Amino acid sequence: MVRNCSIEAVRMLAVGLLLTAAACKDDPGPSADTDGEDGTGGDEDTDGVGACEQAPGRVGLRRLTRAEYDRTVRDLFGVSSAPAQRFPPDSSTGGFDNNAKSLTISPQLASLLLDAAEEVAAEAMANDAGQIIACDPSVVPSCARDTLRSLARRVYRRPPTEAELDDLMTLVAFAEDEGDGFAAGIEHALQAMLMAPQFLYLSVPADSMGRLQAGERVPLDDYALASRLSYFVWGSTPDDALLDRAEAGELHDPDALRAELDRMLADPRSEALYNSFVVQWLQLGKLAAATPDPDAFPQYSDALRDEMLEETRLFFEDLRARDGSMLELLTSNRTFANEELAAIYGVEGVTGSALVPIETDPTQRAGILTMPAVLTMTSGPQQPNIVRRGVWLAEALLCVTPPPPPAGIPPAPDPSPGETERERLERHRQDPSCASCHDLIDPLGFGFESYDALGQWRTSVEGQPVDDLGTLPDGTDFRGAVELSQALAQSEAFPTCVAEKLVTYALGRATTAQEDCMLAEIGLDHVTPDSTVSDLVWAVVSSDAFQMEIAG
Amino acid sequence: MKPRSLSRRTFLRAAGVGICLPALPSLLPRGARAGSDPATKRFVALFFPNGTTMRQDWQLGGSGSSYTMGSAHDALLPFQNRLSMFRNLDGDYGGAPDHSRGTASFLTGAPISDQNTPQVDVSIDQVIAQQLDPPTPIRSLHLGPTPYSAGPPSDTGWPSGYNTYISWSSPTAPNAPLESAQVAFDQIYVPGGSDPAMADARRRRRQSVLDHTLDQIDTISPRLGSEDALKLDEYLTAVREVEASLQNGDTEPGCTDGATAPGTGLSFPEHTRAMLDVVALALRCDATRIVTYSMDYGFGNKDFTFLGLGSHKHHNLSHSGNTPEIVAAHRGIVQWYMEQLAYFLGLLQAVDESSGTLLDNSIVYMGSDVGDGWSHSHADLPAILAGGGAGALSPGRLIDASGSSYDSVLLALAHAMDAPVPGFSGATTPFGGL
Repeated sequence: MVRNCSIEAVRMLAVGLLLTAAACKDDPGPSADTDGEDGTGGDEDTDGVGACEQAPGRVGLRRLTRAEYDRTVRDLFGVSSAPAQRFPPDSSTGGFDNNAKSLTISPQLASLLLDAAEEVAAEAMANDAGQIIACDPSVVPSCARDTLRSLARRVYRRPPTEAELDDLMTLVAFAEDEGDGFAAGIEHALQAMLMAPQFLYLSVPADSMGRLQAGERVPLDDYALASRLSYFVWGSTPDDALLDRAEAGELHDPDALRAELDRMLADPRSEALYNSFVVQWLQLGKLAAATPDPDAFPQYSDALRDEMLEETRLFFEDLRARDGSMLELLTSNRTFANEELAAIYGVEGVTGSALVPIETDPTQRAGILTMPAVLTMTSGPQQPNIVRRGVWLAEALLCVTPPPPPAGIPPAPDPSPGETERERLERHRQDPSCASCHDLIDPLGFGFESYDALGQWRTSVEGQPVDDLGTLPDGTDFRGAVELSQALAQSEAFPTCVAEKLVTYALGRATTAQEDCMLAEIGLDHVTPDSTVSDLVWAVVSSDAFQMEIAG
Repeated sequence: MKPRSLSRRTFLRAAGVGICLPALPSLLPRGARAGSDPATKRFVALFFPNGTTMRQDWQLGGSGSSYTMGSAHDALLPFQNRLSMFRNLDGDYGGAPDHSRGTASFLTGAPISDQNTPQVDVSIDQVIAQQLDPPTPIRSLHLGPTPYSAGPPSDTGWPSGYNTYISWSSPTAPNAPLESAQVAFDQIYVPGGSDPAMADARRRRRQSVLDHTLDQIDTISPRLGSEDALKLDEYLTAVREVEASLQNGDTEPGCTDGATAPGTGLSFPEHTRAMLDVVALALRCDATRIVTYSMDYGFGNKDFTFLGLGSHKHHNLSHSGNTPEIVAAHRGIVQWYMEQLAYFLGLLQAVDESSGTLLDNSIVYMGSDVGDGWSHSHADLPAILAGGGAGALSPGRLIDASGSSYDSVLLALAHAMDAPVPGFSGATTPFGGL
């Protein structure tokens, strides 16, 4: 869902912050009727979500992203060479690179996929031929077929059909004709699996869905649900345990599914939730492009930049491990720092290069809004960029995308002597054509004025005391990023936005206007002090949007 | 497989590079022997983002063949008679953020409107590729800048694909560019002395894998709804093209000998030079005849501190106003891009082919997503047309495009490449003054 900061969007945002999205919560709505209409039956409802009428959008076939390809061959075969890094870049739609609509295959990519299939198959056999070929072909006549059956189940993320096995057997026969040995034949068939749509796309059905009308809603089968779950939580392929659950038909039992989810969240592979979801959600990749001025910030280095990013990773890793509340993003004073980061925070007593837990000053700091990574990547070389900070907040935490400056308008005026950046921007907003958007953006950015371009606390700017009075789109004033964080934590816009980002990523598609109610419900129920990260993820996983697909 | 000894590529290598084989009449392809096809044409599109300092440094004077260039163009002076510059070439397709629509229309001449699915229209390089169907190892080569750590840039919430892709095989099938010069080099490099038997065995193996892929697509497609079937069809088209590449064979072994592998971890300027080297090598050895290269993506924000004109990011700079310092820094970036073009034209000019130089036989079209960078206008776009197109172009002129549509110029490029399609985008009459 792309929202621009039209007057209407600003108004909606104000409504979201001030009033309520409870219209859909308090109103039992048409859910009783919905069950009849959409053909899902009442027993499809799982706990947590149900008051909203749901009309899920369509995901369709989705190619693996580069990151998913690399994790998948790592988890399948121990291939650690990240072969997909040679591929052309995946573009992003709706802020995430796993959007099914943007994941295409060009001839150039197909050629590199073929190279990668050769490389991965060779490395897989070199790493693990003994485990891949678990029989002696001179003793067991069905050894080739047995081997392919078990390989294809893992590579295709579902059991292969007999027809698919027949097709793969022709590859083994081809290798034989070429004079290659048995293992080379299996390797050749593995290359073919790695080029097959069943591997490259989520989720290719094993059977005809021909009986379905276009637009008809159907529950994902167990294997497709397992794949959707594993690419959401792990950014990678289902493991044998998850496939076994799917094979046993257990994944449509909510208790069994929740147990699987909890197991997967506890697994180290859930790092993907940070590395793929959080990094894209919070646009943390932008930190690499920051260029603090070495004269103004001699302490800045590539190492410090990496440590700033590492802090965000540890913060989320800790949140996930403790299964805390997502609101800690806005409220926490617990984070991680080494000596250099602690100096930015003004926290004493931390020595050495390793990042360790620290407590920050609650009058100066609150969660991610005041982290050096965020404050640095939204700054210019010498000074913070108020507009960029406001835009980041609007995009990442409020799900509002301000448009670019209109063509041909004059840029913000040059600063007058002694004028602060804030004063310059306030002069700029006297132009009505600028004010329409900057009235939203700038007053959010003003809240960060107490942090310099590296995120250090400051009390004066250009010789004047810091003025960090900001204004929310609904007109509420706040002072500084700590108050701003508190206001967001009590708003409805932030939880709803978190839900929107998470669902967009989980599904690999843009959410639809019909899903706004569901997003508000997931956010308002699970981005709360009493609900945990795993509750929030579960609310997404147990939603119809996650568990159903629309025939297309 | 085509008979390799008499292939067009063998001829080009023999004639063009001047090694290994003399250009004996018996080796010439049929068309060349008949005198009807004296030279093989190549098409290269180069893209750079954020426009120029149009009003200060892109001032073109005079008219026709007696024209003067602006202060951004010093590096191009040695090539003034080998290139033409456009004036009053307007290409505003409206309805979308400036960079997205400017990048998307650069080779398509088409508007964009879909915010949830990147889709435009087939681009002129692909029209040419589809018409000519060249017998080269690579049908068309698509290159890009060094990677952005956060992925290609998105303009105002629109799909970043609109800024990433300038080449489209169909409205929904973009040609994503390679971001590694080493990977690009690997696509065309074939060392001399390669064992043909081993190459043949490898080709057979790859073909059998592709056969399997095509079979699977055929089996699966009927199970799918139309949208998904279309997606698989795009994969099928891509696989078929890889198959055609296999059948056309590799680059002529030995032709790429002596070229230096670019390696990895290159800086942006190193990468740019390496990519241009790869393009020139690919054209010289007839590994491909059609190339698009986004030297940076639309909305690109590469760090140009290396120019020594202050710490500046390209897109940020273009919005930073009109103070003399800012204009000077932006001019420096534009001049740098013109130096890259001059370097590339020099590479092409240094290759002699049977009729003129490689540059004489090429059409190099360079342009940007916006015109004047500061205003982000789409009027009077900075566009340059270099090379002779084997006689199809009359370079060395100021081309006034007043009153002509942008797509009619792209259509004229296709015609100049001997791809006489009846129309392109909204144009049915090719622009007449190239």
